[in-house]
Amino acid sequence: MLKIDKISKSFTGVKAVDNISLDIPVGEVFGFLGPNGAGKTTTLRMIMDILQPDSGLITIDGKPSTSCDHTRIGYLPEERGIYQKAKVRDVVEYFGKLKSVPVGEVKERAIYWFSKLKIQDLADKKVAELSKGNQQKVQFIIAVINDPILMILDEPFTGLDPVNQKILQDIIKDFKAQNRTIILSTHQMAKVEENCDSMCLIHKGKIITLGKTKDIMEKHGGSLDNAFIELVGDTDE
Amino acid sequence: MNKTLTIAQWELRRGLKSKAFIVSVFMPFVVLLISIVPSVLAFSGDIEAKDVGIIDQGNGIYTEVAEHLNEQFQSDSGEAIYTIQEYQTTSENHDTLINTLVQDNIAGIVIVIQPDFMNNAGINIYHNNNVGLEEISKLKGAMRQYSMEKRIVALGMTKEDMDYVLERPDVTVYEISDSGDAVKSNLIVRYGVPGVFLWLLVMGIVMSSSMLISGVIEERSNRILEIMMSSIKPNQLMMGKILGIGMLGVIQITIYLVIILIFSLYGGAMLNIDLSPGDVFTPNILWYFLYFIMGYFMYAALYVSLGSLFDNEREAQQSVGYLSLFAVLPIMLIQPIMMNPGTPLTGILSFIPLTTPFMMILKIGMLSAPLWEILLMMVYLLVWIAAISWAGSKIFRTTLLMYGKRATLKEIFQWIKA
Repeated sequence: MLKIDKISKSFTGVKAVDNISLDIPVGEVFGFLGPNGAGKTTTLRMIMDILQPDSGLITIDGKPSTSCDHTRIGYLPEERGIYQKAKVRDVVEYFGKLKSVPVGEVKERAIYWFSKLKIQDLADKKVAELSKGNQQKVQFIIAVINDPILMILDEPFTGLDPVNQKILQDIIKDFKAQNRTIILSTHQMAKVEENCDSMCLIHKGKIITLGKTKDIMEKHGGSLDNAFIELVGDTDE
Repeated sequence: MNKTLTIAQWELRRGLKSKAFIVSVFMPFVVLLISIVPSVLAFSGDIEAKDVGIIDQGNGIYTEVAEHLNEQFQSDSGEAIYTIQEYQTTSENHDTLINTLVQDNIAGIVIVIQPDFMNNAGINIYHNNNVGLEEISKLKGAMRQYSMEKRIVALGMTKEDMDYVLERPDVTVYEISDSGDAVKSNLIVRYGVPGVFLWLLVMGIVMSSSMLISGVIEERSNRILEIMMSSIKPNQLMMGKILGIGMLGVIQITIYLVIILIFSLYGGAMLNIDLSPGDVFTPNILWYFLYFIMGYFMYAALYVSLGSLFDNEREAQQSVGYLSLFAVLPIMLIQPIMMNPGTPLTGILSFIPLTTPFMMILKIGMLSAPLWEILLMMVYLLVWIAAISWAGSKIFRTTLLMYGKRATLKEIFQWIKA
């Protein structure tokens, strides 16, 4: 599904991403982890063709990311916001149209997702009137309104209470059952342990571990927290 | 293209709902009204009845002057407004008596006809603060007319001779255009209409600038851009914004035209001037409309692309607001240009892209710019709009996800050249 082949990216002399390669098959939930400033967001932006790598190649379903159809890719960035003065329904439909979802379908999908995330009563309110958690739900709907086959979710659980985190987790499981590919980037190791088939950990722009989640956990005392601390700590030394 | 139109539609709807747009549409007229209503009020309203004193210093004309004033100052029913009384003064009590009469409102107006007034010794009018500008103006006119009539009679002419001499001959002014057509010169068409359109364009751009910049800043500061960039290209976003905001300009000018039409139907009677829709809605209206739209689009492109350099609205408004000075410059120079339309300044400012739309509106109205020049400058302006949009999209593309770092002028030029 997604193949990243030796990509690098520098900004004013600082190498943010250094020769990263990944091969993520269809239907996999892939954990993409790393400490702050490791190069995760830069890598995700390159997958989304928001930034272009200085070297290397990214292909999605065999086509270069610069020329493939991005209308079936969903992206929920870590730093995200929406128009505060607009109504929830209008914002969701606007972003749906930007993702080339037909007008009639975007309204139906919006209704479906409002109901799924239990915010149907808020659809005609202004975004600014919603709590932070509900605004997060709207942002998630915007990311998936185009029925993506590849989803990139950067810290999707931030700002959600445990009940809503469970709802989101169930949705991720549904997507997996539908054979959709998900890249999940989060600092919540428990979520990675519960959801991700495989994972990698990047630090200072390089991959420092890559493999099946269970295998990596077993190597580090059955806990991804331990793995993170040991591997990132070792690299810093 | 569909995504560009989707963005344009969104920006248009956002703009139409915003208070800033409603203010930008009506504020120019509010400002205009505030500047002219006081003058209109000062010269309107009925003159109140009052006591008037006349001090005739040895001319023996009190009765004539009183009759003349009673003819000039009458109510709607034909009755004299003033109650006129003669007063005598000596050299000792002259000033004291006048002060007493006026200050104590015994006579709110005192007219002193000095000795030998017909040979320019003069007429003095004293009044208290109950007498307004219009009444003073009419009094002065009435006394001047009386003086002139007296002189004419003294020269052996009759009143009928005087009326004949003073009758204003009909002088009609024609302007020969470059095509050789003689067109009746109309000050309102020549100066008033382009001046109003210039004013509306300047106010529209200045008022809209804050709306344009805040829209870009909101998307940057709220991090909406990253979500958008996963679905659209920076060029599509920029073009969509310019198109949407440009459409707001079209709506704005259309509303202005409707207001101007209503004013041209009824404003002439209100202001006692010769004005009809035909004076305003000449063929030049099309050029004013087109230059208005192009000016609006050009400034929209500038504000969108330069607004993207900033993270917060305060800094953006301060820095990009300097652009508005170019829009205001033609307004500041309008009087010297009106006094001397052929000045080289007009030509020079026509070629500076930021002032081209304003200067062409003035040139079309005041200098009857020929068709070839109108069309050539339109092409010139369109080329500049395209160039600004192209350079702006390069800046926009680079700065979109750049936070916390202020770009230098050198960097901006490098991005444009890249």
